[in-house]
Amino acid sequence: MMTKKSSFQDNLSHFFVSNAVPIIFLALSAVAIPISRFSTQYLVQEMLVRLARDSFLVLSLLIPIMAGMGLNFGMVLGAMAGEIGLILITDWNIVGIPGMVLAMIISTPLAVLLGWMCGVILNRAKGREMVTSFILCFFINGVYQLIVLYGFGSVFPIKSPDLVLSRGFGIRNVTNLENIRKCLDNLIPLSIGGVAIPIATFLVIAAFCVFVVWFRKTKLGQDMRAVGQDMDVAEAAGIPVERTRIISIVISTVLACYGQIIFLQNIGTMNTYNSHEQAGMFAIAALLVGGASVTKATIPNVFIGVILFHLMFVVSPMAGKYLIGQAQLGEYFRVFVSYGIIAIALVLHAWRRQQDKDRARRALRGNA
Amino acid sequence: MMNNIRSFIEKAGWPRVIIALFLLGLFVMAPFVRVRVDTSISDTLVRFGMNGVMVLAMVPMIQAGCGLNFGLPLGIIAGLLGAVTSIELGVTGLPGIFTAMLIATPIAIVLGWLYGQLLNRVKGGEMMIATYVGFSSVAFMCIMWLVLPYKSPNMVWGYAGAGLRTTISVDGYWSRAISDILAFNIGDFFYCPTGMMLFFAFLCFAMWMFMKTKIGTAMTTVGSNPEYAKAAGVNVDRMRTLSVVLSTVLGAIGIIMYEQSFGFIQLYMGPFYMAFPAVAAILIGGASVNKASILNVVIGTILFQGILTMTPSVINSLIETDMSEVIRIIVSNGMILYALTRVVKVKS
Amino acid sequence: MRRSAVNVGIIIFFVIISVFLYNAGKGYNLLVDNKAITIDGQELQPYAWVNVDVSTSKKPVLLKAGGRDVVFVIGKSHQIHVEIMDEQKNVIKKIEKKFKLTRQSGDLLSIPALGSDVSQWIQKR
Repeated sequence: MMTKKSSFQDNLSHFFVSNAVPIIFLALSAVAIPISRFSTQYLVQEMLVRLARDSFLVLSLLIPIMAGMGLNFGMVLGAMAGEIGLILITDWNIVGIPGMVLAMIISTPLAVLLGWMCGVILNRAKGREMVTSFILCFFINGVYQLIVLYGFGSVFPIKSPDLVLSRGFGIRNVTNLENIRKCLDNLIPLSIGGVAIPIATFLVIAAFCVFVVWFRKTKLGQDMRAVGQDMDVAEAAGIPVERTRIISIVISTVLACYGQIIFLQNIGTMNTYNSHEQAGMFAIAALLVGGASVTKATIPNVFIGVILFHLMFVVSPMAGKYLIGQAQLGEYFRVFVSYGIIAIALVLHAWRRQQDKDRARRALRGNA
Repeated sequence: MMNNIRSFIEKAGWPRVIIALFLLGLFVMAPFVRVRVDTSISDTLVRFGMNGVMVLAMVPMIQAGCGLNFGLPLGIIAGLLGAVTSIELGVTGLPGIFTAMLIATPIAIVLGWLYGQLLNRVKGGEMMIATYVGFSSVAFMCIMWLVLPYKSPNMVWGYAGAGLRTTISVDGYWSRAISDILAFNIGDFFYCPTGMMLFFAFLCFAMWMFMKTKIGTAMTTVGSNPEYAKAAGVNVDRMRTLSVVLSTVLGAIGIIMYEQSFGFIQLYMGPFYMAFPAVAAILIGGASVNKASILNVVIGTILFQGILTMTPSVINSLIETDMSEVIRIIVSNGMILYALTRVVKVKS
Repeated sequence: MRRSAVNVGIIIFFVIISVFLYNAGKGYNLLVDNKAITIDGQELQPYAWVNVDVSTSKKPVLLKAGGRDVVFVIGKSHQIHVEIMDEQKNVIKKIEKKFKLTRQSGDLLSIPALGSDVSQWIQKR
C-alpha cells in the first residue's frame, strides 16, 4: 500500500521536473491570457493558423536530434534555399499550388547542397556542433546576401521590375508573394464556428508526421539513433557514422526548406533578408518549450511547443500593455523569454550531462 | 629563404596570411581609388584602440578552457550601467570616465562571478550557453532600461520623461576623454588617439604580467590540461570563475573605451551581437578555441579592424556598390567557423 | 548500373513535372483591346461595346470603342467569350473561341480582329 502511494508521488514529481519548461509556460500563459483581454475565438483561430504555419519547420528539427547533432541551427540554410526558390517563381509569375510546388522542386537541389556542406563542416567540429551551426548560419546569410542583394538582377537576370531595387539590381527588402498566398491553406477550406481551418496544410503536416514515425523504423533511422546514442559504439558496429550524420543534416535542411515555403505561403509576404533568421530562432525555441531537450525530441513536443510558444508570443505584448502600460515591455519580454528558454534548456542539458560524467568518474574512482 | 617563408605561413595559417595580404592590397589600392591613406590609417588606429580591450577580454576565458566568450554582453551590460550612472551623476571629463569604470567594475565582478558559477556546471557546452545567456541578458536589460529610475534629461525620452533612450550621446561628458590624452594631429586628416592606445597597451601589459604570475600559469594549466592541474592541487572551478570574472570586467572597461571614442552609448539591442567581432578578431589573430596570447589580440584587432575600415571605402569606390556589410559578415563569421572546425588535439 | 538508371529516371521525372507545373501555373497579363487596328493592310474598326470573358479570369471585361483593359489569366490554353454589342448594348454577335498562348504569339487580344475572323487576332504588344 505504502509503495503504491509514494510511487504516485514520485511519478508526479518526476513528471513535473522533466516537463518543467512547458508547465512554466502554461502557467505564464494562464496568467497572461485574461490580462491581455483576447477573446477565445481569436486565440483559437490564431493558434490554428500558427500550428499550420510553423509545425513543419519545427518538425524538421527532430531528425538531427535523433542523430545526436543537437539543435540544428543549420535549418536556416534550408530556409534560405526555399526563399531563393520563391524569389524565382515570383519572378516567373507562377501562381497558386503549381507555383509553390515548383518552388519546392527548384530549391531542393540547393537545400541538399547546403545541407551536405553543413554536415561536412559539423563533422569537423564534433562536440561543438551547435555553436558551429549557429555561426554557419550567419556565414551563409552573408553569402545569401551576396547572391540576393548583388547577384540577382545583375549576374542572374530577373525579369519583373517590382522585385528589384531601384538601383537596378538586388531584390527588394519585401518580396510580395501574393501569387501563392495561402494557396495551400485554402486548398481545402473548412470553417467551424467562424474559425477557418486550413485542412490541406494539416494533411501535409500529418503526412510528414507519418513519415517521421516510419523513418525511425527504417535501417537508416535506426543507424541514426545508434549514432546519436554513442558514436564509438556505432562505429564499432559498422555504421558509417560520418555519412549518417551528414544525411541527417541534409534531410533536416530540405525539410526546413519546405517548411519555410509553407510558412511563407501563409504569410504572403517575405522579408527577403530577415525571414529565415527568425524562422530558426522561433522553431528551436518552440521545440524546447514543448519539453524537448537537446538529445530527445518527440512529435508531441513539436505541437505542444508551437501552441505554448505562440500563445505566449501573441499574448505578451497586450498583457504587457495592460499590466504596465507599455506594449513595448511585453515585446521585450517575449524576446527575453524566447532566448531565455533556449538558454535554460541548454543549461539543463549540459548540467545533466556533466552530472552523468561526474557520477561515472566517481564510480570509476570508487567514491574517493 | 623559401623554407623560411613556408614555415612562417604554416605557423601563421593560410587564412591569416590571406587576410593580411588582402588588407595590404586594400591599402595599396587606396590612393588609386581616391581614398586618403592618412585618413585610413588614422581610422584604423582609432578603431584598433576602441575595440582592443574587448578582444583582450577573450584571453582569460580561452586560456582557462572556458571557450570563446560569446557571453561578452554581460560585461558590456556592466559597462553600460557604469556609463549611464556616471552621466546621471553628471561627472565630466577624465573623472567622469573613471567614475564609469569604478561603478562598472563591481557590477562586472558580481555578474562575472554568477556567470562563472553557471559555466562551471556546464563544462563542455560553454560556448552555446554563453551565447544565449548573453542574448537573454541583453533582452532582459531592454526591459530594465525602460524601467530603471534614471532622470538625467540627456538620457531620458523627452516625451514621457521616463525610460532611457536608445542612443545616448557622451558629448560634453567624457567623449574622447582618454583618446585625447597626448593625442596629436598631422594635418587635417590624421588623428592619433595616443591616450587610448597607451591605455590599451597598459592593459595588455598588465594581462601579460598576470599570465606569468602563479595564478596566471595555474589558469593556463587548467585550460590546457585540467586533470594535471587538479592533480597539482589547483582548484579548477575557482580558476575558471576567476577567468570569467576577469573577462567580464575587461568587457565592461572595453565598452567604456569604445563609447568614449565612438561618442555614443548604445542601449537596448546595441550589445546584442557585440561578442562576435571580438571573437572573430582574436581568432584572426591566431588564437584557437583553447589557446590565446596577447600577440593574437594585437594582430587580430589590427587585421580585423583594418579590413572593416578599408573595405567600405576602397571597394565601394572601386565597384561603386556598398558591399562592406556583406564582406564583414563573411569574413568575421568565416574566421570563427575556421577556428571551430580545427581539430583539437586532446591531451589526456 | 541500375541505381544510376533509376536516379536518372527520377531526375527526368522531376524535370518533366517542373515543366508541367511551370506551364500550368504561369500567370499572364493579357491586354484586351477594342481599338482600331491594322493587320496586313486591313483596317479594322472597333465595335461600340464588347463584353469579353476569358476563361480563367475573374470577371468579364466591358470595353467601349477604343477601350483597353488588362486581364490576368493562369495557364496556356483558354477559351474566350465575346459579346459584340451596338450603341444600345444589344447583343449583335457572340463569339466563342479556344486559343493557346505560345512564346511567339504575343499577349494582345484584338477584339475587332477576332470579330472579323482574322487569323492573327492575337498580336504582340
